[in-house]
Amino acid sequence: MPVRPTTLPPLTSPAEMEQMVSRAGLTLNAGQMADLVLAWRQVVQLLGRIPRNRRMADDQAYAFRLAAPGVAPGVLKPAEVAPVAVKKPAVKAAAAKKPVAKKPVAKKSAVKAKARKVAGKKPVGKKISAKKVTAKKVAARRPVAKKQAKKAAVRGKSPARKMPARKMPARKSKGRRR
Amino acid sequence: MSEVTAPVGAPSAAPLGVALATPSIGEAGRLFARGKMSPVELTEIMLARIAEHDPKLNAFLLVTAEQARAAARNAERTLRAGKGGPLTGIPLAYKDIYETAGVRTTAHSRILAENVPRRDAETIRRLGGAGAVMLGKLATHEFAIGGPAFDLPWPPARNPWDTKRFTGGSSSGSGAAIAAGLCLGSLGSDTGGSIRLPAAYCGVTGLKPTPGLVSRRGVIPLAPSLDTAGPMAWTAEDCALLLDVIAGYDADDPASVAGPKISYAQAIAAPVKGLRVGVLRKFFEHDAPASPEALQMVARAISALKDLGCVIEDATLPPVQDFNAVGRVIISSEAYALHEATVKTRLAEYSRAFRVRVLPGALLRAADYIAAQRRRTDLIAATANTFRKFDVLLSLPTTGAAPLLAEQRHDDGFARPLLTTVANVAAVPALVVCGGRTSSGLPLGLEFMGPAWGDATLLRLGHHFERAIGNREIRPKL
Repeated sequence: MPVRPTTLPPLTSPAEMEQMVSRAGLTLNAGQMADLVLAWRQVVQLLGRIPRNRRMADDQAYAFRLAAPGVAPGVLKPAEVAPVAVKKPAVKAAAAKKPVAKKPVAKKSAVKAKARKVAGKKPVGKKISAKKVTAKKVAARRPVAKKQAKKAAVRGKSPARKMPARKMPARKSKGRRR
Repeated sequence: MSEVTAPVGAPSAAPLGVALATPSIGEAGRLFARGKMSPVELTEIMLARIAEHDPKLNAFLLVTAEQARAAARNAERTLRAGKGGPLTGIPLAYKDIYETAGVRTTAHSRILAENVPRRDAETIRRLGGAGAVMLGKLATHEFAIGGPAFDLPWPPARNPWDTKRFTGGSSSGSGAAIAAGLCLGSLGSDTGGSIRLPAAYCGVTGLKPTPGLVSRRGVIPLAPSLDTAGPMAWTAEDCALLLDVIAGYDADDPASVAGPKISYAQAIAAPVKGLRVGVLRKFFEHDAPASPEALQMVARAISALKDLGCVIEDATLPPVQDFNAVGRVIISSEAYALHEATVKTRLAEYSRAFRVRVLPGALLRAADYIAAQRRRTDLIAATANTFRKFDVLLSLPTTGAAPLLAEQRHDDGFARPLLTTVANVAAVPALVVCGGRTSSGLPLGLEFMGPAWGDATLLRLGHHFERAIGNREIRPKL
């Protein structure tokens, strides 16, 4: 897209300069002011090269781009991958192995769900994994926890945060949520 | 500003063979593997060289000798046990904007003179985990922008090829220390050329990686939307070995991206025949005219690349001045925003060079900053479009060899366009290698730019080019 720079802006007068410095909240001595004036003249030249006459619907350089839902940042693929065999150094290899350690946690919940089935108990409520139910939500559902939460709100912190999410399925099975 | 009083060294060179004391990282690893040298011996040699030569060069702000000896002994035990990797026992030193746990990190500024971080930057942590030995912290320009300055507690670093001359910056200590053989490698940071300028002036190799490839967590920022952390070393192979360890996703750096899962050190061996290299001739012949010796060096470099089997054609991008205007407005705005609170209370403690380069950010408006960011998207798109036709773009990082320190102006970054800023604004990786030397023996840098995630290709081309040119045998005579 051909974007032509705008014409050079006029030089800033000493009065304007003082006003700008004051507006920026700076207090400069004469030497510092002289240095800034010299540098600012150069910056004004640079600003003159940056076009302003753009279309309203032009792209937004300052917009954030989030990862797609359900895609962990580590899974994002780069634009170009060089076709070379992988051989990681020891440190990186060790770091790469870390996420695998999460698997047993998932297995644990699966085992619990299986045990529940065997016992003939139906899971309560929607099919939400224990991990996704936040401690805060559960605290809001439980009358005792509600009181605690109110007290904590007065103190400015939530006791529900301290409850480990892993214990949730056990509490569900006692039917206390109803 | 204080006077330049350090002894003056004439540009001259000594064959590397004079002392095996300064092997490259790759060579040192091979010497360790054959049992010809140990990490403890190499660390002691480096510490002795620092004690002898650094008073002339001012490359080190802090030498952590005892810590280095302890790390070297650990590395030796690891290697004897048949463990470790290519960086085990390798003596490195880091630009003093990288946070180091329990070791003073000043950013070469009075403002952080007493700053002792509690934890390592992510890159330092990774290198420590790989067994590297930290020799100390290296000079920089104040907060990676304000320099060279003589009104700070530590003097600026000097160029080992001629101590009257500028090292380039802001990773000034890194360039000087590597060239002088005071450490085998370093980490620099690059916001507008701060890795590549000292690499060019000091005759070493420096990579500004693709943004997001290397974590910046724990690196004192300058302008976060342009900052990159990267390796500096004597050869492209060494940079690849360092990159193998420091590259990788880090959840603590919001800009971090999971890059290609490859070994950069292995990738350099692949041939470069058929690579399409575009020459950005207009950059260094028209936009920022280079010296005749630099132009002759480019001609020789192109000839060497043709001999390697590369396909050479001319390429074009928007003028360097457009990239420079965008880069300077973004850097001034973001740097001022980061320093505003301190500037308002401790302005006199900053160097004059810092004030000249950062204070204009106080006067820039939000509309100016956003206009610069929007223009940046055009320039990124234009550069990406050019890379449809080329694998690598060839340019110069500087218009000639290192200038005299006394000739440096505080407003240089504004007044003269920096050729290196192109890669920062375009968000692409760039590698600077030593392309040759002037008749007086000063190094001349050559820059290769690649498309995003093309870091491996750049290192590969740099490696083959260095071998073809054969200038890695010569070190400055100190």
